Amino acid sequence: MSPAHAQPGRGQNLVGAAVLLVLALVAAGVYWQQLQYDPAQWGRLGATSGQTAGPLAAFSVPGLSPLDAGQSFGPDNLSDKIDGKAELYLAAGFESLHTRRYALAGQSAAWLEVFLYRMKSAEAAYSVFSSQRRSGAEALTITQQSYRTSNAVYLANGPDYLEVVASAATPGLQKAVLDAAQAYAQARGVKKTGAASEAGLFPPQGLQANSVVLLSKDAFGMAGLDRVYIATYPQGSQELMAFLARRADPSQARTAAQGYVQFLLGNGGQESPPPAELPGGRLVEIMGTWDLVFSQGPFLAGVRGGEDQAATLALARLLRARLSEVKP
Amino acid sequence: MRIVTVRRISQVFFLCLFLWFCLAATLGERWWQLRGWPVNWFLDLDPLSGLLTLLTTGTIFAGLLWGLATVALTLILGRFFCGWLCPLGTMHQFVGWLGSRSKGVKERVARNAPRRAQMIKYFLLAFFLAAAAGDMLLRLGQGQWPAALAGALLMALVLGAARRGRGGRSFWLAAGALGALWLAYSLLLGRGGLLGASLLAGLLDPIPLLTRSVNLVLLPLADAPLRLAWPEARYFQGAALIGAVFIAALLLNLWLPRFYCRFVCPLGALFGLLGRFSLWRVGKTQADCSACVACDAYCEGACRPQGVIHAAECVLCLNCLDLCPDQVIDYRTAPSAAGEQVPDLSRRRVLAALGTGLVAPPLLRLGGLLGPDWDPRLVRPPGALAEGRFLARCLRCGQCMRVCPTGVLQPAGLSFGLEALWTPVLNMTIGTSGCQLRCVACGHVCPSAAIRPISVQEKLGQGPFAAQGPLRLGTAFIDRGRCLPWAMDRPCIVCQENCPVSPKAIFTRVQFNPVLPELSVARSLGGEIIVSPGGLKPGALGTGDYYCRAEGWQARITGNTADTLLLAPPQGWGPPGPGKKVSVLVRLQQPYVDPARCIGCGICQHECPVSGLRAIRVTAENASRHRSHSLLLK
Amino acid sequence: MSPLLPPDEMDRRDFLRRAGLAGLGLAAAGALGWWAYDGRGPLASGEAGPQVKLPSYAVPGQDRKLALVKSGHRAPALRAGLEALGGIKAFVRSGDQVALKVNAAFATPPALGATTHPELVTEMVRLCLSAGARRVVVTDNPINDPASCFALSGIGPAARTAGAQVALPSAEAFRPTTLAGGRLIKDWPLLYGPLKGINKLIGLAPVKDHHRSRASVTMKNWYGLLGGRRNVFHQDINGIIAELARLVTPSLVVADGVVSLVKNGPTGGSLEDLRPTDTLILGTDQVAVDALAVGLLGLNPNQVPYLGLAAAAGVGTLDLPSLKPVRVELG
Repeated sequence: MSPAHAQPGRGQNLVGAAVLLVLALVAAGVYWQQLQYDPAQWGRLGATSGQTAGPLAAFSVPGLSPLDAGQSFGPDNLSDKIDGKAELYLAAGFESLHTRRYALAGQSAAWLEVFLYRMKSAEAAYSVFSSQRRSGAEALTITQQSYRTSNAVYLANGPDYLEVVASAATPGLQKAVLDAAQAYAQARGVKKTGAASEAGLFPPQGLQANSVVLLSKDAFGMAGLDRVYIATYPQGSQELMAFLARRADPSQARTAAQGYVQFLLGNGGQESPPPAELPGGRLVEIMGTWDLVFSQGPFLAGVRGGEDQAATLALARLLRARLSEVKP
Repeated sequence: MRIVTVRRISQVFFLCLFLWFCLAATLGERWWQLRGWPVNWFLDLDPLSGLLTLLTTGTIFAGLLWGLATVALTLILGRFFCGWLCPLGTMHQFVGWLGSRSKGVKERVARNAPRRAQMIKYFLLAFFLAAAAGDMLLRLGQGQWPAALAGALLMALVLGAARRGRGGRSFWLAAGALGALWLAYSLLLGRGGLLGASLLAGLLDPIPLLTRSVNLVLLPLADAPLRLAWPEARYFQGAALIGAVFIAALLLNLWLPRFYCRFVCPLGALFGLLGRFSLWRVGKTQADCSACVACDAYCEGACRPQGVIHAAECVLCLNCLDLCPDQVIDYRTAPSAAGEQVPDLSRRRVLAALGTGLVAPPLLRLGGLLGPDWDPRLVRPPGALAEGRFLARCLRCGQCMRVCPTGVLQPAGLSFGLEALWTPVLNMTIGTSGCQLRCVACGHVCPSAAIRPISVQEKLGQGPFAAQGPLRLGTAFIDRGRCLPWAMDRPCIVCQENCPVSPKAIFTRVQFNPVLPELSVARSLGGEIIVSPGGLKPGALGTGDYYCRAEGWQARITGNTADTLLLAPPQGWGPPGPGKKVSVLVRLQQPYVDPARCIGCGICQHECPVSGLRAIRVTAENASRHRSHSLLLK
Repeated sequence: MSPLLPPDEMDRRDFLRRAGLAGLGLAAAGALGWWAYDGRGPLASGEAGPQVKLPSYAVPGQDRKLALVKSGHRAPALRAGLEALGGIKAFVRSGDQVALKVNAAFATPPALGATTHPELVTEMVRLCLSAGARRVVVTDNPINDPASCFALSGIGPAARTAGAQVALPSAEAFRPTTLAGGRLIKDWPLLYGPLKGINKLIGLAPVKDHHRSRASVTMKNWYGLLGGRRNVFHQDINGIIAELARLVTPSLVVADGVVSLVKNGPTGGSLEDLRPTDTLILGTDQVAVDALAVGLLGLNPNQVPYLGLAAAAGVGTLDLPSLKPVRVELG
């Protein structure tokens, strides 16, 4: 079309190349975007919502009569049932919740509610079970992880987390919640616990019973610090918390330990000289308490919240000794 | 590489991308179907849609935020959108090139010379802007200051560009009067409902125009033999008008290249005004040159780069830069050494355009279509907002109609009123079915949420939406004068059978009607009776819908000859003896609609065997989006 | 532009002018995008949806009041606390129409402490009526099914017996509202029906641990005035609570820490999640009341971010001594 045109200069070539690069980026962005979609949007209804009891439909306990047809909830609408606490379950790996109310035969005012949480894994179930454990509760043997309080029974069983909660702490209802939990265990079968072997690595000396908790996500408020086991050690009026987390290999454990120390320092912590008794450990004072962080083999571990530096160190030494016995 | 080659690559790239999105807006999950393709991206990038919905609603919905990126880039680079990205601009440029091929330099210079008429697009922009800002003073009262700020900025942009005319006393008087009238109208009549914001820009906004033209005209024509976009041939009511506008816009390029871009395009006008401040611009590095006019001959924007350049008209085609033998044209931060010229807009005309725009929505609404004379044929898609709010958002891009799996969504024609032109309306006869019970695709492609992105749960009224109940589009009404079992004694329950609602919204009541004069029994043989007079059509009564009745006795007819009725085991006492009178009845199930259950999906209407004007038809009464159109108390 | 300047200088000046204007334009575009962005889309409600705006329910002359009662019994504690603030008549006058916003979020029994205790509701209704209130309405938009929540929590029967009306949320009761200058509450459905005609609003909230926001007391209680798919707000729980506190200006709030839900909130479940904390806190400053109440959960106000946000927004103060709190000990 054109009569004559000048030879393009260097500037033109550069701009041209930049524009072509932008076009390539647009194409790549569009391609990436088309992969991001939610098929459920296009007309399929989430499978786990509505007025059905799901697995609880056939669940019956002698002496208890259902008060309603039960309800089921999926990740989309879990907060319709337990708004405010849904995130705890969603972060751990939640699949569905099934709930149903039952009353003692002939007494509609004496009722209990069954909450059956189906989690993504046994570990996820253990995590929500352990992080809500009521202190001073009576351990049960219905499943490997089960206990009762004055009005309720809680248990983890494979990927299930079950709560049976009564409206009052009367003897009749106390028996009924136990019966319901046992009926569940019988119907479902007892499954392997979700607590990994790490849970048994805490030094037994001074360990508060049933205090081991699995924090599945963003432990201690640090984004990305996942799958951390914690345990409580009462020491007089104060409490020490030991923690450990297995990482893929020792180098990742070291990196994680350094990352956590940086997190503490970034939140107002002051680092003290490393303790001679614990080579490689790092001691941080934060808000008037001592945190000790170290890595041992594939483990990131440490002790938090000690007001007394000596006690903190002593527990850390015990913990490291236990961890060093673990065969790689 | 020459920069114009890069520009052509960019233009072809974006045109192909645009066409690809039109094709990919097919409901489905295969790689060439909707999936996650950002099929609204071009509409999102168009800042006119975003800014005008900001004026009408006070918000920028989801993807429309991209428009601000375009604004930002225009402030830096100038009208890159027009010359490098706009798929409609690319088409115009191509047709213009076809029309210019045989022209000599002199004629080319004449065709690409700046014309006074290029100001028309700025007046159109002012008109659409004011039409969208009609109730802006009201929203200021509601604390929606982003909308007010955007409105003020855009008005300042338009008015600031208008510098011709010295603003004598009569101008300020007129401006003051218009402002006072607007204020008074807002304060006094705002609650009256006539004052409104209307998004009329979609009629001429290039991206919605092209999207609509491709979706509703080009694609259906191209897909008729291919069947890629839709499984069956797709019809769109009034497509001829949409197509005519599109083809006219293209053909005008043969007369003057980029005709639409230069004279009509309100988006180009917006970019032109924004481009006044652009950091980089095309211009001469020195005022003198050999005056070969190669630049003027090939200028796409008609901005005369060889002389005092009309900077706002420059679409960055860069032909001038490429062709200049003296190499005195450059793209740089300094303005042209030969001088720049701003749009030659007279204040009075801009004021007139703004005033007309302000008056337009009240004028359009004076017909009462948004009030007492609302059109019951205007059945909107599920999740559509109430009419006033809907018209404040709908871009008329046709994406909802494109994605609709049954083709029930159609562009409203002129019979629905000027303001509703090419907005989506349900037409239950033209597609392959009515609105599908579990489909919410239209709301999820709508770029401006005129149709809300609802979930299936909300559409069906389940879960958290149980209190509201299902979304109703309207209600089916039975035309008893046309309905087979009501008017013609012919059995039919097609509508009841096809009703997708559970429990069904259409129920029937059984009615027996005599279809023949009374007959006398000649002989009775248990399972059959011989009647007189004979002359019955053999087999005609054996469909199972016909009954024989005498006093206290009735039996279904299982077959017949000219004078014999074969009977199923009867109810009541034995068959009537010889000489008794019997009548032949047809058993009808006459349909009724339960307005508490009907959602107005229109599937009954689509399936009704009265194939012309259907005997059951959905109109917009009881639609969820208008509480005042409710049929029921609650 | 002076013609005396050399051309280069002119170009530079012109460029700077344009750069300034373009920069302003960019800033305006950015600000508009930030303020006007709406990822959710419009609400279904309303034809041209008239918005509602909550009036202030504060009683003139009664601002900055705070009282703390140590007692294990709710009814006497409430009476003593009100007495310390000038008596119920300081807040409710003859002919008033009073709304009590309770926390009936869950269909759980009163013993589990996840909802406002019925005893507190009974006594407050009784006091309001005795002060001459023409009408007392008890309302909330619970998480679970409203009818079962009000029935099983015991609030419904208690309120009716004491002579109040119970207003369950219905679809028609919600009207869109926008918090001026708010970021989250924009054109959002508000439980407005039960508040029609009301001129006094009293919040009655239990003191609870909350998994997401650490503590749920009187400010978090206003969450129950929201409708729609409000759980989207959980992504910014502190922001929404602070905005709610700005949206609602009550006549009085009461934090019931006679028994507090100290663990596994906000639902609790086990009686072991409760602890007797023998404290009832009343006041007209929501921030101060909540700041005192979170102490019952073993938290200090700095650990609950929304308290700081609300105080910074001018809803109330965290400087408790400045309010001269009245302390009452009941035997």
